[in-house]
Amino acid sequence: MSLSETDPRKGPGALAPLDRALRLCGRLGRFATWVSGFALITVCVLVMAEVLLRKFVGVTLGGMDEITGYVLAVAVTWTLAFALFEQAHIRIDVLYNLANRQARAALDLISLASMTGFMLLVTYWAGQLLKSTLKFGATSNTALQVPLWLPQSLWLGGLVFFSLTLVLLCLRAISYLLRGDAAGISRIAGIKSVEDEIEEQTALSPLDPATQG
Amino acid sequence: MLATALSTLIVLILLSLPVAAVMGVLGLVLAELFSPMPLVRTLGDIAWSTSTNNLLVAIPMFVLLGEILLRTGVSARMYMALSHWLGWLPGGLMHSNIGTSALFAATSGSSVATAATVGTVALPEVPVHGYNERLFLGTLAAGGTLGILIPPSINMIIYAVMTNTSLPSLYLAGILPGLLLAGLFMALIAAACLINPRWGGRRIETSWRARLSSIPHLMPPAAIFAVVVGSIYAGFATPTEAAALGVIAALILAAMFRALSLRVLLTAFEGTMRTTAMIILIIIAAYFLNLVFAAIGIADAMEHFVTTLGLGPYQTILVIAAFYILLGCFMETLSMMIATVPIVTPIVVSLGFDPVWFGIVLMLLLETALVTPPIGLNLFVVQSIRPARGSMNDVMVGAIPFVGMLLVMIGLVIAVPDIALWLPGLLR
Amino acid sequence: EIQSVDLNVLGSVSFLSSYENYEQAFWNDRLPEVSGGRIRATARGFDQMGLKGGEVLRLTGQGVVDISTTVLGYTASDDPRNEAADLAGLAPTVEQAHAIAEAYEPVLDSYFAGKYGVKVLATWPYPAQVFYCNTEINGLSDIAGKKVRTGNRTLAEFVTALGGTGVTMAFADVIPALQTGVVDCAITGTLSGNSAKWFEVATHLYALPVGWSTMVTAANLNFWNGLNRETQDFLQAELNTLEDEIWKGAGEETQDGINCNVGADPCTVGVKAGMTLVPVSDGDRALLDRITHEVILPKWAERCGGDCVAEFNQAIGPIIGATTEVN
Ligand code: NA
Ligand code: NA
Repeated sequence: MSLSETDPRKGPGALAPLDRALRLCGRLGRFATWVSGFALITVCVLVMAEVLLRKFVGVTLGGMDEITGYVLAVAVTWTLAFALFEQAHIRIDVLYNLANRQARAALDLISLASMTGFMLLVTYWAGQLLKSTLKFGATSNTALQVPLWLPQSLWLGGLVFFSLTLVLLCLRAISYLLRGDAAGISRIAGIKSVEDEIEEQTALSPLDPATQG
Repeated sequence: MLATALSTLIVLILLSLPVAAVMGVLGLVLAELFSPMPLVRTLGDIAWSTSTNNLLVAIPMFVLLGEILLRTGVSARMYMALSHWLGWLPGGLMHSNIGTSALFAATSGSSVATAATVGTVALPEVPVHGYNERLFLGTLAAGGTLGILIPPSINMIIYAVMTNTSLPSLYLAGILPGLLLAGLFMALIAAACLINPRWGGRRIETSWRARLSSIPHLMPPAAIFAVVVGSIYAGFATPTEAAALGVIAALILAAMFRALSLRVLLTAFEGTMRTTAMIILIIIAAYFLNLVFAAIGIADAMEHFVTTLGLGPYQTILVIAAFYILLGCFMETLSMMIATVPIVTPIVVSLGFDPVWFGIVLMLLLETALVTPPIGLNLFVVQSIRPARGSMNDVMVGAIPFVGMLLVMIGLVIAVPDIALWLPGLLR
Repeated sequence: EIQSVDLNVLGSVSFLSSYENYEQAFWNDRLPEVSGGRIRATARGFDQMGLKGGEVLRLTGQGVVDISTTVLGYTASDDPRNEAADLAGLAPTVEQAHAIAEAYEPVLDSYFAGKYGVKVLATWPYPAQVFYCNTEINGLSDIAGKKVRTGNRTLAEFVTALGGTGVTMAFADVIPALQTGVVDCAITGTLSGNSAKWFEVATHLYALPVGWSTMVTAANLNFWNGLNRETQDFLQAELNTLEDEIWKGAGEETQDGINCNVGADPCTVGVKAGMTLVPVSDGDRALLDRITHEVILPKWAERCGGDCVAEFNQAIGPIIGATTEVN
């Protein structure tokens, strides 16, 4: 993971809290990913129960499709930061590959800033949505009548977490910019490097002898 | 307006912005320039309704299913088994890539999940056997597209909803073109490697004994196909529910192989959410861009253009196909469907074409969009799972020959509609 | 005199025939024509914008569009008042549905202004919501023990009250679900079910109307107040004419949809099919009435609260000849 490479000892002492905060975001993101995975499996089990009960007993749990939707929404926003740290957010690197180190750092900064700007807008308007949900006391239009503020605030929480991570990364990138450290910018905001990938893939290779039956 | 849209898009892409940001920023710019309405205010609703969309739930389910099969070695065994059957062909494991993709497509409704799963199993083999990496990457991106043509298919579900077409008919109609397309891909690989034998890597050693003993490894995908597709036809489950049943089936299979552990599960979750979060964010941005397109009338301009050409039925179909191929270079497939299907399908049906047939033509056009640069989801997925990350260009270049085969297949289905319609016709 | 304005309009579901025949024709052609080119409109269905319908009133209030039309039931998340005019079984005939919608329009208007910041201009329906089943049924009581796909809260309660199982699933899943027996019945409009080719997978049509998918057309309040009196009156009058046409058409199209589904004449809008029409008995009408008054209304009243119920009783009570109360 690229963040583990941001060595706080190299930077001015004032940046240490920022790096700590970023590392915390990284850990929280990974934890959220695990929770999301278990939530997905739980949903699958419930759907199976729904299918079997409906077929053989003739009763229905009711609203499984609705709950599944909420789980997806919350899982996605809470794992966006993890995807960011894993540099899974794809960029088209046609020009990037032709650029030198300074130009790459500039592109990385623009990318990070645009993503941050877009996500801040999404988060702001998602907040407005929650606000009107609260004002209306909106409930889902189904037999479950779920108070919508519940899934929506969990969902918004993920968006806030992701936006916050992006803002922290922007601050870190700016600190590198002020020091004229182009490599530093690309390390935290760049397109995934070969070494990162090798490290990650060797973690659990599908063709690893250990997994061969 | 079209010129501004296109040039802004190209600038954003050249700046190497993340794809979601490209679409989001383009939407914001176009809304600011061409709409008197504050369209940015829809962002919250768009993000919420997109991320709770019940049809999109099938995406993480199919990705998770693939991850479980992958991380427990089931996919690898299935890949190895197929390599014994197909590896002797010129091009070696690249044929297994296509074969495994076709087989996996029969369990997964998503092209992204198919490319991700097969790609993760196959990519470590490039240096081992000395394949031409670009062509190899191309087989994975292209083979993955079979995911939405061979049933089950998320895109067919959406097309069926939007056009009120029978989904079971669509599913049946996709089978033959899917197998035929896999055949075309393999023919292309064989031809390329006969012309340039160095591309084909070292030969795979096998024997009939190895082949026969590999057959049991092909059973797990067969079992999952039975659960995912069988449960739909047996009246057990809806297509969305079937995806969830597939996940449970994969877990049970993994447990039977004694390959299930907490570590494996957590790795599978990480892979699933990494892909899902990225894809859903792109789809949210794409929905917003689509809303802006609709609001400023780009869709109307296109509809007007097609209807005023005054062409005959087959000419119109060809123009529509050309239009989708062009659009597919720049748009994500789900939002492309949402933006165009309500406009295009009525035109096509009014010309006397069968909506089931057009659904298959559309799936092929969407498959093309998945592998045409600069915006092609399958290209991104394959790039994102490369063990030794090279340039995005490698994947794009490698996929181009397969775009040619997709175009051939589109031509075939247009010329001989029975390729799609024969199988569903048997059941009528 | 009438102002020169460009309207941004969000219409209802674009692939259903009523959008094309009425709304699109009205906004894009008739309005510019009768206003002598002074009022121009760009209309598109909310589905074309990738919206679901439930957010449309809120977005209109925020000024994203000037005027919009959406199905009231889709917005029932926001407030139980939004489903009041289209509660399950409330209006067995189109005349009754029309009377209810007209009487309730002022109630909606008075609270929409404060809630969404929109002005209500019109209400109109789709053709009637009826049962499509893939198995033999002989009357309403046969819904007992059946799995029925419903699209909203009040219809789900209705099915449960009949002893059936309300199943929720994406609209996309309905055809395969009917075909394979995941569900036994599903509820939708007589004409939309026909255009969706539900007759290919369903055998029996039970055509007692249980709902009308009543729609509301509303304008952003600031935009509306910015128009001069003549323009407001002109738009309101034109919309009133359209409203009458659609209500009249809905009655004919309901019957046309039934005819088409069962292969009878006249069938002009839809496609002829061979479903079996299940006759509606007096007993069924009585059962519908009883469930609506004993189950649907009290449940809704509980959701909506005292003030809301009082408004309902005052506006709709005289039309249905009954009132309800919060227990
Ligand atoms: Na598939
Ligand atoms: Na493309």
